[in-house]
Amino acid sequence: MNNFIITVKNLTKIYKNGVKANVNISFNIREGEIFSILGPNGAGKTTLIKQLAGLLKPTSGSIIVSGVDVIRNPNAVKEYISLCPQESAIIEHLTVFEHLYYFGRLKGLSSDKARKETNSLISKFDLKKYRDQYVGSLSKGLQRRIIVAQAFLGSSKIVYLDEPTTHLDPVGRRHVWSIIREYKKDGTTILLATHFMDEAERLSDRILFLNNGRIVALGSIRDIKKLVGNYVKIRIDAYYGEEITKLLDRIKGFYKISKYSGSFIDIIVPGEDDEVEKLIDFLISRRIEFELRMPSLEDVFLELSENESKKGIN
Amino acid sequence: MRVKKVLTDTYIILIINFMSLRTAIIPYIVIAIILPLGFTYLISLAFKGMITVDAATNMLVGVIVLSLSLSIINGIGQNLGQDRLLKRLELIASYPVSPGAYILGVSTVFIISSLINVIIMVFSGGIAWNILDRVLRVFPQLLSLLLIASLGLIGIGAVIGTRSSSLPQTYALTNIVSFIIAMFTPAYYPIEMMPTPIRILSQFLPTTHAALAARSLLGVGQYDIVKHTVFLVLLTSIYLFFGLRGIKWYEE
Repeated sequence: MNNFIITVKNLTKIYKNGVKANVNISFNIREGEIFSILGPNGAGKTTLIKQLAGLLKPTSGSIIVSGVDVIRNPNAVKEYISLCPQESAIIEHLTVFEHLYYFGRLKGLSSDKARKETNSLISKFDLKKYRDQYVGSLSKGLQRRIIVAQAFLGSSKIVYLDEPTTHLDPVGRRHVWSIIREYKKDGTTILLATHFMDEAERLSDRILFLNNGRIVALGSIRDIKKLVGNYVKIRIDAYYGEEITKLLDRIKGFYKISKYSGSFIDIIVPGEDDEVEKLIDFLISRRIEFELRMPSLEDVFLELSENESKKGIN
Repeated sequence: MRVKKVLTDTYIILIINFMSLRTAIIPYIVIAIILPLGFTYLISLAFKGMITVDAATNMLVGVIVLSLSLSIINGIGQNLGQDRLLKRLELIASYPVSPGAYILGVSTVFIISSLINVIIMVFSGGIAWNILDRVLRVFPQLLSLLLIASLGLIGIGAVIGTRSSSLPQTYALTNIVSFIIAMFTPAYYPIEMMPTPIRILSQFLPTTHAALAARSLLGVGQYDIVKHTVFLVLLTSIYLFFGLRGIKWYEE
């Protein structure tokens, strides 16, 4: 017996216009984990979520969510899941309270329970001040908070959050992250689609990297970082002009220069190499400012995507 | 249990739609009541003293058709168009709500508002033109005909709302089609007066058959009530079928 609450096998979605949104995707999600689908815009994240939510028919493959075959019975899965869609589909002329309350009722909550949960979510998401205001009169960030809050109505076992923190300010994002963590503690399984690498890095137990509809990597953050090797990154401000040109000549062949944007240079240095020390000593002796960083998910994603495209070209 | 959930969901969708009308109540009253009444009032002024009982009855049927056409097609077409294009439909579809409950909830809003419209028109027009007795004698039959016609208009509105590709297109189409229906329906004037192409086109409008049957009921004209009622039901079913088929709960 495994404890997978979601199982996706060989899922492919090709739209009528020929666009391959998802190609041969397979993964499992364990009960109670935060599983992130990470990828740039157009990677196929939303298409994947829509199929898992029983809103979009796949071209081929299978999806089992909480024991329900989603392709055969797309409506049955809606008893177990909640969705925060990518776009804040609000009903402008309802107040914040009404919006949450009526969607709670559609979720199947009794009038009393819907009222209680609505009040609790209004407090939790810091919406008390706006309780009786029309949703349409609020900022995009506040509307987003309402739609995210709505996904937690009815204590669904599984919550799909598609870009939940879009339009939120840094404080709002962190607040939503802490709420997501709370629900995870209570045993809710969370499927998070995001293009914010920091969001995925802070929240996820496991990550699925998608690019052009295909899986680029799948695993825990540590596993995924291992895929691109053990290295550190040294970022140097391009302000140093001539010094930088000399430096580049000197290190050419020894280090990989991952990015030269005109405003900075990223140099990838193998983590266990003495050359790191040598390079740092050199930078200090020349009084060149630098920043030493461990690879972030973004670096890993860029590296993996680059490898994928090279494979594609070859 | 399942039936109870469908009924509760229908009620909630109905309430959500009514709540949404709160801020649109003035434009709604203007479109559904003031505009058709004002239009008819202008005609009566123009033909002051020349309006016979039959002409007044025609005008009453006309004003009702105009009101229903403008309010229902604009209302449901724009409502469905917004729900679909602003992704509200997708949000609702992600809930354990059956498409039937959504359709019933949204349609009921417009059926109720149509009923209110018809009653207001019948009484205000009936009193103004002194034909209330004549109308009240066949009121239940008249109301039934107009309700079926309303369902047909809901179908036409739904066809636009579920198939238009953008909101501006939805607004333009609902406005144009509702006006065309109001003008091409032989309500204000006998069908025999219409040019042949328009007369042929008008046969495909549920409002045409409702208006002709209503005229006969009210004793103006000798149209076959049964035949026109059958056509009315048939056309209404076709438009409803195509309109509601466009509401997708599971996209291909």
